[in-house]
Amino acid sequence: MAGKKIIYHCYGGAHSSVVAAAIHTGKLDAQKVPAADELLSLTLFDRQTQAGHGQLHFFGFDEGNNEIYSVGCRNVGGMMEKFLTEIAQILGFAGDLFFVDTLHCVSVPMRIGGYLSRRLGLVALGRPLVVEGTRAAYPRLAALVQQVKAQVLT
Amino acid sequence: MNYLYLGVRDLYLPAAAAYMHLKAKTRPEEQELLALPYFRPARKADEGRLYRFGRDANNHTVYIACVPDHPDVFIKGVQSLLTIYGLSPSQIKVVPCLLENLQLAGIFRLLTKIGLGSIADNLGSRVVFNRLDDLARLVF
Repeated sequence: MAGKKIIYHCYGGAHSSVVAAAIHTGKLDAQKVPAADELLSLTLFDRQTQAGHGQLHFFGFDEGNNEIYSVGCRNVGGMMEKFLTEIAQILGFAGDLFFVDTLHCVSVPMRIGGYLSRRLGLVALGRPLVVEGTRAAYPRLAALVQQVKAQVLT
Repeated sequence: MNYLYLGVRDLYLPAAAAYMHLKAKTRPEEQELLALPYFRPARKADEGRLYRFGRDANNHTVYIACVPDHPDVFIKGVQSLLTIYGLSPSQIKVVPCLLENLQLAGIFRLLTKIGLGSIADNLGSRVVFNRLDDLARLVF
């Protein structure tokens, strides 16, 4: 039987949602804070642009055969959940989508670094900050993914 | 196929566009518009919800919706969702019907809040008639 589509979303779809999706699919170890290289090896990490907001990015499957996605929704994440859930309903896929907001796990350095790197294009300045911020927020993101797994896989 | 007329903090333009679509009319009467079920200021609770407007002559379902901001993100989200379900992008055609001045949406809400809903509706119909050619271009 096909699983759900689990969609991690944040503001820009470049940091917290990408890391959460990577933890969920096992690309990153939930127990160990990844090194900067490991984070930067994720295709979307600190690379998403504004033009890609709203686009669902497929990460892979989890052990329950659920499909894992990440998406950047700017500041309308909650509304996007409601809207896409209704769209799925009219397409005949009611109850198929499971949204997870990762924004509350984001640390201040992540916000500042993300803004510098993604919004202002100051990658050399913002990226080190966002990497350190992500490493600091990693335990929170890992805990969130564990909660989601407990909810979806049981 | 489904059509979705999408407004930002506004239902007047989407409702008028949907009506023009269903009736295949480029010049609706003001009384017709004022009698439409969703021809009213958008409330917070309306945002993100889809309202079924009816079926057109080709049996396509027509919906209207409004979102708080960033319509491009919602449009891309719909297209992306269709792709991951393996459906044709033409399964849902999202047509943005956007106010030129978003402050009007605030004025509509304010008028309704102070009990002047009919004035808001009249203002809404003026906005629609001002944009009728644009709407006709979007619909037909």
